[in-house]
Amino acid sequence: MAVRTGLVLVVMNTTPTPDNPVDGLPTSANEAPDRHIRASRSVCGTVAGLGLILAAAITAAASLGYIRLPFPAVLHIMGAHLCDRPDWLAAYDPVWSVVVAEVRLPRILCSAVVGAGLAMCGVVFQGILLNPLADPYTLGVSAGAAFGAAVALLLNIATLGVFSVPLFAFAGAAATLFGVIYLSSDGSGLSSTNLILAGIIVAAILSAGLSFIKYVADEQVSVIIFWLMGSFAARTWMDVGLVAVAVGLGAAVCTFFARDLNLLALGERPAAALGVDFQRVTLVLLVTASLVAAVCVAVSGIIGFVGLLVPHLMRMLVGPDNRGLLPVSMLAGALLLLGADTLTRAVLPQEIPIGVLTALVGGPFFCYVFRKRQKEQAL
Amino acid sequence: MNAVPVFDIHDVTFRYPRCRVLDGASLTLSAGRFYGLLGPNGCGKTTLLDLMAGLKRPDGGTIAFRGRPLGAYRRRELAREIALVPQNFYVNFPFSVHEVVMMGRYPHLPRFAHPGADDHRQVQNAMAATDTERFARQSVTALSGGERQRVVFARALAQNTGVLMLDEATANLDIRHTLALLGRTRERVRQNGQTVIAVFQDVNLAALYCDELLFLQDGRIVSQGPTETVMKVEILQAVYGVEGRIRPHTEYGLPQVDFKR
Repeated sequence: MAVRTGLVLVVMNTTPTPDNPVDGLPTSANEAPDRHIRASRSVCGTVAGLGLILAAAITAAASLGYIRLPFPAVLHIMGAHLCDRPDWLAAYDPVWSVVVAEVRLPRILCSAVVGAGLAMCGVVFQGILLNPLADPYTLGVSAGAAFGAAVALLLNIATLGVFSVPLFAFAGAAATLFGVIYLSSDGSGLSSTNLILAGIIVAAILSAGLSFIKYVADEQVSVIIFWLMGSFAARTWMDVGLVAVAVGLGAAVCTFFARDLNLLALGERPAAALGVDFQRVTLVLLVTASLVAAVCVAVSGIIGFVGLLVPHLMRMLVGPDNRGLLPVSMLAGALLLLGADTLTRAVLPQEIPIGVLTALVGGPFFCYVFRKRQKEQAL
Repeated sequence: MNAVPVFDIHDVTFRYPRCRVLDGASLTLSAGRFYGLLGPNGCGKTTLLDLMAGLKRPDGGTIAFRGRPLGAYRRRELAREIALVPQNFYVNFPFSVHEVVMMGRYPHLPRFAHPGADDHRQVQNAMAATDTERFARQSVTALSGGERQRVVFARALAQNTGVLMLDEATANLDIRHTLALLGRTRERVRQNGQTVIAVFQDVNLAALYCDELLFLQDGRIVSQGPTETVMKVEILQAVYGVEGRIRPHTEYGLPQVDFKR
């Protein structure tokens, strides 16, 4: 899968290389290489650990639900589909196979990949906008997608079948992105303040438009509201493929520019003096991350907090170096959204829209971490 | 080799949307010398450095770097040749001091490569030279302004370039670190043949360390030459509009100014 290749790439980068001790140097001079290796080992370890937990979580999630399936059976069924050995399925009720492979796994993988994508976009947006409060929706991508989807739902556009709403959402998000970039670019290029301001202005206009659509929508209004709150219900392998390709390509681009993203934290002049083509890198990463976010929103609706929360927490865990932060955040984002979706799907008595759940759980948790962090820094 | 100047700048102009900053500035810099760039606030010192580092493009005139037009270099290539210590310095994320100094090695390393023993040695030396070793593991956001400035200086030293540009690089430092860093810089000029161009506000400090001084006024270089010959009362009067008297430094005999109140 494309997502995996992106991750593997990063994992390989962080593999420590044996540094030969340098002759004629005081012992303290050899301390730094050791420390660096330790740092990259901690990223490696975190990636491996999170990857294992994610694999376990996927299996566990596939066994949970209306019909509770035994754990080994789920593993066996997944193995049968992976290795293309239909004979392994003979031992089980055919319904189990359908439940796991056609109903649960698409939804599970969809939520995991969207979670990874949103977390990745969060890392990139916070890095580019130099603002720890930035998230994938800062430039109005969510408002644009919401507006596009609402238009499609209001006018009952079905010319493109089930893809009508996602396509309109994506088109709305993409149009918003380019509008914001156009608005915020002056003669000398993009600045983070201009981008944030333009994003806020455009999002405000679009949300007014959305309110108007809801006002005139009559009985359609509940459909619109339900879509806006986000859901992974009834996702297909088609959806999984779509987000996997988008997130995978996005991860490849972001990984390629991860080191440049580090330098952007120094500001335009120092970054340029260290060999980064500031405007080009900013534009490429901004467009990539926004389009990935747009695809995620188009497939799942608007799910907040993952893109804000995960990069923050992971930065505390593995440090701000984006080469480690990106893969770790993607895995953590996948875990978080998969967990939230499983909670609402299989644990809670009634399904809660996942966007509401992530905000309800993520918000207070974020407040707690933020507060704790501030107290620590004050000491 | 020495015949080709490091920088050959001819009749360079640059304008911001509202005002013209550089208006026909010309200068030539040779390798292995310490240059001081002086002039009143807003005369275009920083802009001139930006143009020379390839961070901005001139509106007119030519800049040749080691005999080749500056525009013909790729950005990464320039970053291996020219290091810049900027005036203001802020890092937006809590990178450790070691990580920030290591960023100076990025231009020398392929995109996905790991720093080798040599890179670590250069970083270590740069941190030793700037007295920042003891912060190595600390977050750069937790440091004071002067400490952070030394970290940036260390990063520029780790970049290990033939040309070092200092844009008021010692403005926030206490006198001990100012003297130590400028002394260290002068050492690199003498021993490694590094070319340094430094913006100063303090004329006396510039005269103490620089081989040559350049005075920038109204977007032009109005005077360039060895410190002893251009450090003149008339030039200071013309450039800054201040009065003073030149006397030899009691220790080194270099010209110093006693300003009139």
